[in-house]
Amino acid sequence: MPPRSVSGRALAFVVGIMTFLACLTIGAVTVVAAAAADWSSDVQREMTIQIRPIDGLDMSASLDRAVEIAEATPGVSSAHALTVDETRGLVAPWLGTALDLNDLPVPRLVAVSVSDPQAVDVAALAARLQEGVRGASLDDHSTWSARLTAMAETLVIVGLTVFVLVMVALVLSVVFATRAAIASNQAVIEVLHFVGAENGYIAREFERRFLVLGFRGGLMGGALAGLTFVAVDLVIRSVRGSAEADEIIALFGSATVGLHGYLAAFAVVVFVSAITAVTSRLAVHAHLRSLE
Amino acid sequence: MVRVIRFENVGLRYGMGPEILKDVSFNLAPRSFQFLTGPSGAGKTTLIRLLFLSLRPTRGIVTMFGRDVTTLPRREVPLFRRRIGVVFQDFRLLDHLTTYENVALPLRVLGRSEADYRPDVVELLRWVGLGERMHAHPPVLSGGEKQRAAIARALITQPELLLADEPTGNVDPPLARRLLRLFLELNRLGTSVVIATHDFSLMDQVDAPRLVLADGQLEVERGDGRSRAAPVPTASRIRGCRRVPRAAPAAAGGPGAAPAARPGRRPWCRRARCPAGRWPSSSAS
Repeated sequence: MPPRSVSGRALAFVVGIMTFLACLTIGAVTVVAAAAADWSSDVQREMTIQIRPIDGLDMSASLDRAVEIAEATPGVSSAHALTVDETRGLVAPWLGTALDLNDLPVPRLVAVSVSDPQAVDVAALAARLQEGVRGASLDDHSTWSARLTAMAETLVIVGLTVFVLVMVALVLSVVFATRAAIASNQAVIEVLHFVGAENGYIAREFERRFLVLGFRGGLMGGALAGLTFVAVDLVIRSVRGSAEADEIIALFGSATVGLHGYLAAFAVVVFVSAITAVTSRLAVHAHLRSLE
Repeated sequence: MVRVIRFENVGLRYGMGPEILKDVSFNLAPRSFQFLTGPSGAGKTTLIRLLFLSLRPTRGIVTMFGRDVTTLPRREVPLFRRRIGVVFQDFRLLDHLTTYENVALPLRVLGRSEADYRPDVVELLRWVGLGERMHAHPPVLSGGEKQRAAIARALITQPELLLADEPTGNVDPPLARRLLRLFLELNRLGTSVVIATHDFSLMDQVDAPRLVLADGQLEVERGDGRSRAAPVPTASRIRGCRRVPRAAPAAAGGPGAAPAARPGRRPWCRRARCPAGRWPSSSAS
């Protein structure tokens, strides 16, 4: 009912921008969350058994024993004792290659691959190792993994906070736009009142307009965000192999948003239009009540 | 006595200003026809606003359709307004809607479907002589056309009470007479009519009580201190209106006979079956 004047274009733009920002935030959160999940599952899929060289210890027997214990543990797919050469390779960066490891008390490692992180009872395995192999200790990377998770969670929380802030800003813009619309349509509202319209009717009329407006703006922002996702994806693909891309990929996996991201962006669009409509209705109701 | 409206010692002031209306008391009977007059600034528009609940009295009691409305909750106001048609001095048409949509607005607000009300609206627009202009927007209408559109909007719900604030203020005398006939015809169909005007030539055309406002006091001319129902104008007094519709509510009983009955219940669309040339608009156009 209110005329087209309702400062429509400006508000649609604001809604569009807000939606764009919200979608980007959601996209980033999706990428970070997925990458963090990848990291921590990668990390959890590996454990290391370390056997310190103690005087009088038969190292190769201890290694065999450790491999045996590890492989007998449910959830472990394989265990591999690093050979002397491999160990030398590991320390080479620090100690150089011309070194006889036999002269040094270098601990030996067993790399344990985990097929099902949930099934492994890490504490029991550690206890059995300590019992069965002298000088053995288990490093399950849990500290590392916990740190990663904490960081990823922080990023996700930051992302969600940004999302909430964007939504609050959107609500406030809609409130102001609704007030402006009410002010410029004061005469229309008056006439509607005089012909017996209830507040609910007037609020619904506003709500309908703002729903359309919000959806239009939201679609604009959402489409733009979608295009950005695609663009980022394409750029990363095109520079794949370069050091920067490798770095990004190492950090964020493929760094693409994926189907979930696009669905989330569309959900944001729907959410934004709903919020716009509901906010305007509440604002109109509040205003009409304040007239009384 | 049954009344549509009853004012008892009503006083009104804006803020801390002087009283605009002082001890105003009067009754409006069902199917009555009266003028509200007085010099400019005497409070006519204020009184009209009180009559359609746009203002609340600062003292006194206003009773409408048998209910004290001085303490009426806001959410019930629309229900009362739907029983009252108002023609504003400045028309208050919505410029972004066509004439047709403007007149249909009260029905749309009631939630009726377009298919349901369209014939009624079209018929009423023809009745007020706007059949050709129904798709025009108010800004391109002449003053008289706007006036008639505003009147049609006030009539479309067949209100029990019609309030018109200077309805002839913007039109030439022939059109003013024609509009007056419209109101008389409406009154004959059962609606109480109050016309606020300071146009004596208009008032002289109808033998009806005059509520005269002066210095915020109201006097009823041609009465004993209370307004009384005007004699229903007979068809013979109105040129161009020769017939009384069958079983017209106006003829069905005296002013107090059937207070609950909504006047003019017959939908406007039935009028379409009336032979042309019998309605004021067609005879004067």
